[in-house]
Amino acid sequence: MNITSQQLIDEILEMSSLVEAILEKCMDMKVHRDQLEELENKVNQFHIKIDDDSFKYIALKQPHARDLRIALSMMKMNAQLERVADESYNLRRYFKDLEILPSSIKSLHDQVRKMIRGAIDALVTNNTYLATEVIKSDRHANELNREIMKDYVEKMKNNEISFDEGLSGIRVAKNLERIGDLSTNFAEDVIFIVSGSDIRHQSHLKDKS
Amino acid sequence: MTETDNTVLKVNNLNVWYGDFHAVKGISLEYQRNTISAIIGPSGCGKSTYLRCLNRIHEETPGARAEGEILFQGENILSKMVDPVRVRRSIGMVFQKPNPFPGMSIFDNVVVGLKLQGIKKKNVLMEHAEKCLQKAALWDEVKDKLNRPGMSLSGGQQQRLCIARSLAVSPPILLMDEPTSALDPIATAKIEELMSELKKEVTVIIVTHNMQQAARIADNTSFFVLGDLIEHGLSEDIFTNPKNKKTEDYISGKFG
Amino acid sequence: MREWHLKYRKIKNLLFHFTLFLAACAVIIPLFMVIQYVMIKGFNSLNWDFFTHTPKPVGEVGGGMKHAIIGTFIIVGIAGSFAIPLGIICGAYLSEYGRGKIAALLRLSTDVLTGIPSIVIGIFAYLLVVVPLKQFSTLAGALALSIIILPVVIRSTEEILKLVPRHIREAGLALGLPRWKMIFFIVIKGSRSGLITGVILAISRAAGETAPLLFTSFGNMYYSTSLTNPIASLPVQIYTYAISPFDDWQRQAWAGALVLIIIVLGLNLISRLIMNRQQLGFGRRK
Repeated sequence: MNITSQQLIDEILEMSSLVEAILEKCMDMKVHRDQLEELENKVNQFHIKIDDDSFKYIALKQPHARDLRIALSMMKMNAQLERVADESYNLRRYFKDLEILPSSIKSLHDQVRKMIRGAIDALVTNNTYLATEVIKSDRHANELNREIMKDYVEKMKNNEISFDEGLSGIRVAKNLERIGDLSTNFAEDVIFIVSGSDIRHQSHLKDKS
Repeated sequence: MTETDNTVLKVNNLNVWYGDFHAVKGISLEYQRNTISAIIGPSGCGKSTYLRCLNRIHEETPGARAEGEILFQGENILSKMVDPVRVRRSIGMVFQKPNPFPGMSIFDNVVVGLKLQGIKKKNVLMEHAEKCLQKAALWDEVKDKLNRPGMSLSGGQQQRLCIARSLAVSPPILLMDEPTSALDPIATAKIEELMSELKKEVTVIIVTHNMQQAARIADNTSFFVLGDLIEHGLSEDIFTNPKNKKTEDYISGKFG
Repeated sequence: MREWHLKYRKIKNLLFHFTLFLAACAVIIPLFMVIQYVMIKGFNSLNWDFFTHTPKPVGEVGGGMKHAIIGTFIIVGIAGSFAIPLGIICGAYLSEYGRGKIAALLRLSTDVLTGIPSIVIGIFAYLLVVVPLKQFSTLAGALALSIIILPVVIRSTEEILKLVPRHIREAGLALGLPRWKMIFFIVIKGSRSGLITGVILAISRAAGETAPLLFTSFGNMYYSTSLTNPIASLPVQIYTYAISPFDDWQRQAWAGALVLIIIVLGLNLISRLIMNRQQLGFGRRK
């Protein structure tokens, strides 16, 4: 078996382009749910394959230092990407019930799409600065989410919108916010690969809300 | 053997004794073309004895007796009716201690097998020598000093020279008996690297006491203990999920 | 108390070292004395004539030992051309196939042969060649010397070939070489230096033998290269001149002795040089 750490990264990148596609299309009603399901199945297959490949890579090739960090991180990033796909797929369920799409939700969607793209770019270019920017921007995503929630709660209290509409909107925002968190985790793992530092749970970089 | 059958060597119920000592106990294994198969196990478990039967070099050890079948190209090469010289031209061997022939230059060492089989033309020999030294990843380091003595190279280079020498007679199977155990880590890494290129042309069977080496380079791994075959299969299965508890214990470093 | 023990041990070490040193001197000093003495006595008599002329009639001054020097070369040459190939083959047999009754017998014979006094070997050659031919001859001398050379070559060949490690032989066989090719082209060819050294040492020993030649090649005052007639040789010529009552001949005997020593020492030194060069080749890298 002649697998290398670069091959593991290539597999993650293939998986991530599928995940970005689902994230983009989940809020596009022109894309049918079956297409989303197809993408999600492919993502799940990658989930299994990358775990298996990383495991075998560690067992057979005894990687050290950066190669070992890559192998371990691939297993984590793999899980994060799978969850992003999952959240995106589930998001469609609530999104289709929304009658009005507020611009704030659109902004949040764009924001988290940018975040995941940034995290993936950071992996490709080994750029910890980019990764740090992604982690910092989670604050903005969280703020947006809070605003959206506040807004919906207001409107529901004032009977401006129906209960169902409000709940759906809040759920959509919640899923998007979770995708933002997962992108942050992805970026943290990129920093671990490049620098060997574990920067998780350090509050000066993100907002604890 | 039919075309669809990828088996290049088949060992049936091989038993070997040294005098009264039963060193290899009824082992049967098959080897596929263009693969690297490793044999691992604690010291004294019969790995080298087994390997040495595959090219009948065990006959050089006084008191060694082998029974069973080793099927290669349609015949049982273990039989007394088969000339061991012929077997060894198709099944080459690289030894643990690098052994370039004394008193011979690097060039002479590589082509000695060819010369003594009757090939005398200088340009043919030169061509062969270059090809084999390239395959052994040694050409660049020695191309300017082919006339220096073989023994003037470093340990790792000497071993690659021995590999080139074995390759020169174009054997389809190459046996390697702990080829890197006498070398430093860098030389070892170089040889492991060239093995994955080698397997495109030859089938390699390697005995190693370093199971990490087997994990790194071998497609298939067999695990021997005290002359018995305990388990064999794809390396990726043996090293991630072995079926036999003894295998699991050995691989986890609990014995041997 | 402890200090006294330490001093005592140091003194013992020193004494032992000194004893060894004395023993070494006991060996080295006589050697140098002999060489020096022969040099002093013989050097003045060494001249161009010595090497290019045969003896002059008794009483006349001058002449040389050309016939004896050439004679030695001829006898040793003939002896070597039989004994050396035979010796190498037997030595190879012992090292490559060395187990079994024949090998044991061969080893025993070789050991006995080295122990036979050279004069007895001379008598043997006398009985074998001189008596049938009814005269002394070069051939008889060559036979005697070849019997002296043979066991030395066999022994040294066996020892040198045994130095080749087993896995080199196995590597040769593993290439698909038949055993005889492996032995000849790899083991023997690869031990060239060591074998040559053994041969040179055997020859240098034979070149200095006097007793066996006394009644085989007998000696000759004239230049002769005939195989079936007596022939001169350096050791015999030295002996003849040394016991003679003539001053000039005695002077020449010293010169002859010097030449003989130079030849023997020279061969010895050459063989050491060859051995050292090969050692360097063997032990250069790890």
